[in-house]
Amino acid sequence: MAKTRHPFTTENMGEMVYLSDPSWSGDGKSAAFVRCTACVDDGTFHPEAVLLELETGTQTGLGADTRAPRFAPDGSFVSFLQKTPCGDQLMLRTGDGVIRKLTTLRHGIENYALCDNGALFVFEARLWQDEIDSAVAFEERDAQAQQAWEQERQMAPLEITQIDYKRDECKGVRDGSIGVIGTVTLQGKQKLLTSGIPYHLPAVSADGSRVACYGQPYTGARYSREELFVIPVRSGKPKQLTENGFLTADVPPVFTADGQEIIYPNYVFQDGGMAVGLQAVGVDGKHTRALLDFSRKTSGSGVYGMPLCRTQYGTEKPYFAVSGDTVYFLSMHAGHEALYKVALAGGQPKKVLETAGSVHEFCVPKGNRILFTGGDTQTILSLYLKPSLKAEPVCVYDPNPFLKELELGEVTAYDVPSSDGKVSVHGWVCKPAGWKKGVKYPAVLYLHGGPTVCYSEDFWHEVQALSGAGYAVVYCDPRGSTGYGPAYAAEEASWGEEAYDDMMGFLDHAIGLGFIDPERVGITGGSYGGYMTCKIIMKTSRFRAAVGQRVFVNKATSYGTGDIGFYSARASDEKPDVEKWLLQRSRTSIIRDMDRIETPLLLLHGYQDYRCSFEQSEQMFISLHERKPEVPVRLVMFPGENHNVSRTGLLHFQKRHVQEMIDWFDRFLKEGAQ
Amino acid sequence: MKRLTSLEDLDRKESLAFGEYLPKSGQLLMADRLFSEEKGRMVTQIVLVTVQTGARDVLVDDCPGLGNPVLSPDGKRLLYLAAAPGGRQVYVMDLKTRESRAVTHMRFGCMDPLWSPDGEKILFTSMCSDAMEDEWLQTMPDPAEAAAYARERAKEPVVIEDFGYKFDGMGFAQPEVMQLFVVDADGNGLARRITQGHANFMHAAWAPDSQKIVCESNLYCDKAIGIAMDLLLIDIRTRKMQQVTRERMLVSYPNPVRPVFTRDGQYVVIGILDYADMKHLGGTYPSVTLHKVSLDGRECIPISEKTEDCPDTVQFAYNAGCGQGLEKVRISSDGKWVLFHASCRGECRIWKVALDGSRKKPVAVTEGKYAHNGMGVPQKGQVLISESETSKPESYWLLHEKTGEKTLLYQSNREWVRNVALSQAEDFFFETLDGCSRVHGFCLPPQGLKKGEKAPCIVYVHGGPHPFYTYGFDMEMQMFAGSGFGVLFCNPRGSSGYGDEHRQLSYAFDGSAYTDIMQFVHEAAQRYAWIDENRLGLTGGSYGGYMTNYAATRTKKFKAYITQRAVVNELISYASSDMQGNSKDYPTYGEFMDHAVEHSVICGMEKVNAPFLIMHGMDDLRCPVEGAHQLFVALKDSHPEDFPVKMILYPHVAHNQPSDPAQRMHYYRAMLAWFQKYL
Repeated sequence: MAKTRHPFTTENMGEMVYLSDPSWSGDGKSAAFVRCTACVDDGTFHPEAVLLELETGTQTGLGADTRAPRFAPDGSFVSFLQKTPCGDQLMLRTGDGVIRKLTTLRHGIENYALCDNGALFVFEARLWQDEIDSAVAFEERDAQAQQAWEQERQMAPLEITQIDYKRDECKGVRDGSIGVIGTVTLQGKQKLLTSGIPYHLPAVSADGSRVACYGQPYTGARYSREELFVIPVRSGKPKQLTENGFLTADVPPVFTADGQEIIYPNYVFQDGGMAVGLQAVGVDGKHTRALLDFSRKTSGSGVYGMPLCRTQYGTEKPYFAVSGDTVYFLSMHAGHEALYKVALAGGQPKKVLETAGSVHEFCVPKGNRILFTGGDTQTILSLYLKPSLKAEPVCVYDPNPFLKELELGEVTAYDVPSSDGKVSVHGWVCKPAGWKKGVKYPAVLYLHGGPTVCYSEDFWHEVQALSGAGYAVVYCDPRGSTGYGPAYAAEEASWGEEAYDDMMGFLDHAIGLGFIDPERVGITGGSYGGYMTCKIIMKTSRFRAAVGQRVFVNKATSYGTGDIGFYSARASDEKPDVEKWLLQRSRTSIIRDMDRIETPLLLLHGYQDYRCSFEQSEQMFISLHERKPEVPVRLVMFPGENHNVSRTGLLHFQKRHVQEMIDWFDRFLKEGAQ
Repeated sequence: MKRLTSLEDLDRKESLAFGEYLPKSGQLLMADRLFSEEKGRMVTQIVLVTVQTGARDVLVDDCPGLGNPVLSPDGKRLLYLAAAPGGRQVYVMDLKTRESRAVTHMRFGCMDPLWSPDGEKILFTSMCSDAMEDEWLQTMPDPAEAAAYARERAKEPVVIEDFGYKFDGMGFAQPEVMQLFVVDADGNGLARRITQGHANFMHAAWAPDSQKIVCESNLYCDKAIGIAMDLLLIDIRTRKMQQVTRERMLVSYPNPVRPVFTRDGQYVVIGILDYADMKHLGGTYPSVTLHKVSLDGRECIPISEKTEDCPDTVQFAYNAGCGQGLEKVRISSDGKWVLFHASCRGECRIWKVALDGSRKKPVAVTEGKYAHNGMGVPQKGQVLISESETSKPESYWLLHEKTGEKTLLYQSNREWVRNVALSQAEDFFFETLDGCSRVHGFCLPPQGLKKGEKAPCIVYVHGGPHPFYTYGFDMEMQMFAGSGFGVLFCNPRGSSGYGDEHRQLSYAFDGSAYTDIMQFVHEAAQRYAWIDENRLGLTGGSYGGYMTNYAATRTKKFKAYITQRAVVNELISYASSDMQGNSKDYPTYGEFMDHAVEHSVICGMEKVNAPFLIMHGMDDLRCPVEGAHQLFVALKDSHPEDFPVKMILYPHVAHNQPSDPAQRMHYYRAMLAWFQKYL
């Protein structure tokens, strides 16, 4: 007798185990990764670094709150970060299981890299300038002193003179600390290499003589813009190698094996749109060249592709790597993240690995063996090993076997011609869990954020929770999305009519499949998706209910209040005119048309969101409640959460975030709804 | 030679509260907050001071949350609040044995405790929601349970479905509201909740028969009208609630009048807002007329009338510097008069009107260049009053109700005043340029000014705009004076205390108030040679910050600006202020948006030509801190990088200057440093 299988619900969100940061030993026999789980008590997430014997499958955990495991090239140790009262410190674990603490940074380490010579580490630490000046950078505080210091900081006034002072990542105002690059030897000798301006994400050359990293050399409105730097380990004098390099600065740069060139990802603009490319520059700052040829129209998105809206947690590995004369990189196309390679000298990229779903993170192949994490619409990220060129990848570790017991929604991909016939819109429809032919189901159109991001062929718990609650979920990549070439990603389309037409066209196609009731469709999305949700319900009443997540609707109030509002309002030679700037923003904000809304609207927003400030949801709520009291509106605020509330927020808030959405749709879309 | 007032004096100043005079023993009961040398910090003591000798009998000494002492009607016991698990609880002390015991064990603490006239019961306020049972509310959780409860509560997001979901100083609205409880004064048994419903119940008073109470509540009011309050009558035994007034707006926030029963228990004296047409809210805050209302609500008779000298029956004194814990409306000892506070051209006076309505034109009981701001219990023809003057910190006096003669009971900060130079303000009136009104201005010279010397001056604009500056002791201003700055301040149009015409809200925003302030500065400079017109700074909080922002885009007169917790962008305030605006006069929202932006004081910020400091509390829900963020960015964006613009944000501070001692010091140091650098 078949066992009744339950659908996925928000309760299952607490069970999910997240995998990230795979690496393997020099001999390819062992692997390491980070496993992240939620603590139900307080909702926080905790990583653990795990060693895995690939042959036997034996796992050895390195302890609670450990991450970033790296194997020594000769296999003599594994390094990793471990949480202490002061922050994460660097640890070494030798073969006999003995663990030695290498660093004593006052506020811990953000990230680090191990030199190929196995004798030197380079790290990024967070410090205040006065701590560097008074040489206390390596003086840790004990737990009590740390607590007292944190309590004092809670009440400390913030003095701000920089225009770029607010960052969503900081959950508010920058605290004055900067990223500082330093080195530490195997013997534990620590040294700082930088001071004065912030530096991030260091890499070290194979011979340990040079460090490459990103730095912020600008002040004023350009403060956040990063450039590439190289620092000789001996002299410690940083040299700026790029000027207006349009660096992505999200993953560390990489040295070539001979240490003569540094490779880093940058934004490339073409055909009105954007892609990510790889640039190589000589360590002397000369001879810069692009590794990928964007002069020819390409249907790939270049490197990476910014997939969002999928189940993942933790620091993911860089999306490119250099090994000898080969550069490996991930690229996104139509939802499939695949691994490519290109010669260091440049040329035509070749596909190395593609799966039915996505390749999330990869380790540099050893011959034809590739260790990677991947997933698909029915599988949360698992660890895979492709043992040889012709063989299929084998799952080495699936941290979420519970998923197999559940009844999940089937996901099918479609390509729909746009209404203007210019493009084909790729997207997916997830059927309700346990769907039956002949029945018409309510549906939710889920818009991704960005706008310059995309969906991927992956498991997303939000889609499965909706499916489990009896909804079909329709989601697509309209124009403006990544993964279909730079022209497709042109941002103009996102703010214009094309994106709207593509979304509606794809929805109509989904309805045409026959199992969706067109009278019972809801709409939702976050950030840009929230913006579009609000914009769409101002244009049409076809949706029975809407959920706007961390919305953006009023540019006149976002100026200076959200970090997106920072970008300097004035053109360089224009005479400053604050009223003109604000009126222009007021006149082009979508909230102007809120009087047209007839659709019940739920707003979800983190209070400490500084990308799209909480006040944006208040703008929507108050105006609707005042001017259209007959339209149901509800605002749910998540204390202490930022723009990542639904991705990295506390577990109970993440669950509630999804459940509120489901409950809202239940209220208006289910049979017998109002 | 007296030393000058210093910054450090700010957090050493003694302040008085809840004063009550005991005629039999000639003693003064009060909560006295003062600096303890041995402990190196401020302490609160509940004391009995023998007025003649100054002998000090400390009843309760320095414990957390101590305050709110109230003598029982028979004078034998004392109730007070002190911190205990759950928050502040009500304690009762036997004055003979000096033994205290807690009579409440409320999970969420107590506020505003009141003895019943028969001395058997105590009425108090506590926060709770309808869903909470009385017994649960009074069971102290063990630390583990409390921690678990706090953790579970912290996991709840905030759900918002109606207006009024946040209030400055209290944060986001919780399901808990202010409810009233009655407990036996001997602490036997549990306290009983006597109110119900999701509304706030405040400003309660006992009926003389000790069986009923009256209070103000918004239970039956439209939530969109934030300040609407009715008078309710509640039988404490049956808990039956009766709505005494309907569609009467009892004055509550920010200047409440606690309802007062007449001696015969038949009537209650209340203050009602004079809304000629209740639909026009969001305009000028109306004046208040005292009424006498019968318990069945049928009779509601006005007993006060506006006169030129006394145009109101409440006062919005901005810098009274005295009166904490004392009532603003009392019935005289002989039961025939109603005593109240109101401004007469800037003097905070005590007035009286006849209870029977036979004498509606108020009679002044006190007068002169003082701030009188609170009364104790009138007994035997005398009533304790609190007083301060510009150059004299607060003091308690015994006022003869008929003759107006005062006897000093206690002068605060006596030692300090002996050793410290305090500045005395000079004041004057001038006619506005358009001849519509007269403006009252004050000039506080710097301390220790040498003859012939000129001093830089700080022009300080009060908030509101409806409050007014008075002849009260202002420690912040004395501190500036002690640092070599003159302080110039006035009551431009929009301020209350000078009649209905002067207080019209439109004047505060249409440029009239601005003109008045600029004219005042000019007039002051004509009169006082010590004012250096080339070294003037401008500052103010809230509306005063708005005016600072407003002036900064229109004049070159000031050499430095400090804007505190200010209004910046009407559109931000519309949605994010706890006093949310409205857009109903606009057919489309887009028109409202454009209009709000055009009328925002942030327009024109590119014209600012003097160093600008922005100060704001991060938990300010009145003038949202986002306004400060936008103002800062607009200033930086519209000026060259080396133009001095700075913003200081204070964590956990609402729409106020900080109260935490370390933050306060930082705040004033920052202001001083800014003015010292640029003036």
